[in-house]
Amino acid sequence: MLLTQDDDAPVRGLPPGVDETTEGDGDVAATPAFRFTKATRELVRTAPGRVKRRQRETSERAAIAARNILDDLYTEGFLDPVNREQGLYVEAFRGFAGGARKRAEARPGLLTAGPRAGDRYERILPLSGRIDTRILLSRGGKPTLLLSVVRFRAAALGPEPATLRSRGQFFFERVGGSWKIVSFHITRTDAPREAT
Amino acid sequence: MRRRRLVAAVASLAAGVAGLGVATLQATPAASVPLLQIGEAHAEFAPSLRGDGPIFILILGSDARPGTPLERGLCDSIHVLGINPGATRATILGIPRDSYVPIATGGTNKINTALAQSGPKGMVDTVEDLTGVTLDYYVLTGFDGLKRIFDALGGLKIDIPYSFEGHEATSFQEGRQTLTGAEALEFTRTRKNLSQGDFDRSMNHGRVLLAAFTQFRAELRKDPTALFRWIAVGMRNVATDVPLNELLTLAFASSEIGPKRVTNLVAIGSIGTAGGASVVNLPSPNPVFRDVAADGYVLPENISAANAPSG
Repeated sequence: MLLTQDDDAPVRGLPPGVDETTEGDGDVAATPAFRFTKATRELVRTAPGRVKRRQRETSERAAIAARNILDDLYTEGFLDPVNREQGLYVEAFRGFAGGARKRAEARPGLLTAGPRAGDRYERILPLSGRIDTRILLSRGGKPTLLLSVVRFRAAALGPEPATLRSRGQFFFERVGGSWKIVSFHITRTDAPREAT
Repeated sequence: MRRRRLVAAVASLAAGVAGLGVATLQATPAASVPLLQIGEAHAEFAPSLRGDGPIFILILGSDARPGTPLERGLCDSIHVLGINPGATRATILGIPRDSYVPIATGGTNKINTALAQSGPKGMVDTVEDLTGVTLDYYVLTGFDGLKRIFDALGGLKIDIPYSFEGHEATSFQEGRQTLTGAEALEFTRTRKNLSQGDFDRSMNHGRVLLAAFTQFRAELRKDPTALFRWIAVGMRNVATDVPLNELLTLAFASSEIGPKRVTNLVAIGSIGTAGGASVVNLPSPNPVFRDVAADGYVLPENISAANAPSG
């Protein structure tokens, strides 16, 4: 059976019958694997001259670190079944720094599947995830600021099926020796799905 | 000169930070939290400024010609930018280039000679001695830097308050317009066709700074990647001692101070002569300097007409 979304595009990767609601079978499902797909990456210089190879490599490591944080955020926040069942997403925000973390924790419904996701959904499966990154280099060529723009979609299956859509802009800086989210803007445009 | 570390702090929940989002959902007690309403919703955060006091940046324009290092030109544009994060206010204070003042390295001369004599540090020390302000940083650019900045940003959007003839045949008309880099430079260089000469010119320098700030905020609101473009273009065309990470904090926090909360004024003095040259004698003690030094800004109602020339 092919499951369709509101926008008429077929959902990839869902086996037949997955959209049917089921009674709990006692087993907790595994967390679906998910990684954002790199779409674009741009280095922005603040000094004249070319970017040297070592600077590119350092920037690449920074971009990977940022992507790992976002992979974890969206996996913990949307796909981890234990988190969803409990409506708690503590580990989702470990990539945020200071004030950004407090703000994120105060708005779990926007940055995760929400505190009541266990009542509404039986499973959440990733549909797509794309990441575009810009890296600001200091005059010495060190990555100093990263901006990652992500687009994430997931199919939430259960009594109130929905397509979960999140568009996020995340700024990263080095805090205490590691990259952390210091500023963000999130837009959620979830939409109900027709149960079939 | 104080080197300060800007302290980033948590923005209040009610603050409209970074200008990136719209109204957020209201918080409700956990026991009655409804299921998330399907639809569009936003959340946002940006670091805000919270320091122990005002922040002061000295903004300088050098007239160095090609072949002369910027730091060895005459400093024909001198502005103290005061920012008070707590009051969410700022002031751009212009100091006339012909102000006859003690130079930090010795002697008395026009203030614009301090840069050529002893570089940015000498300029900083001279302005600190004159105003009583303790400066945190400086930013220095020249003719070409200014042109390149505004050309790279697609022009400077500015509201010119009155029409006048530029000093190289460009006519500037009153009203909102976008200036190219060359036009922005001529706008800032014109003096002789202005009724109050260098005082008006200094006021126009402040208008350019305020217009650039307004444009930056508007672009950042629409597209966060504008932050990268502005910082990269700025850093490539200025000499400065502002650390990049603190510049980023200032940029993030720019939305907390709206353009209407920034006052632009010029320190006015009497015209005199010294050694046969025309100079400006600033009053001493100077109430404007005292006002800015105290808390980083001057309220609009405390600006006299003399300090805000309008042509």
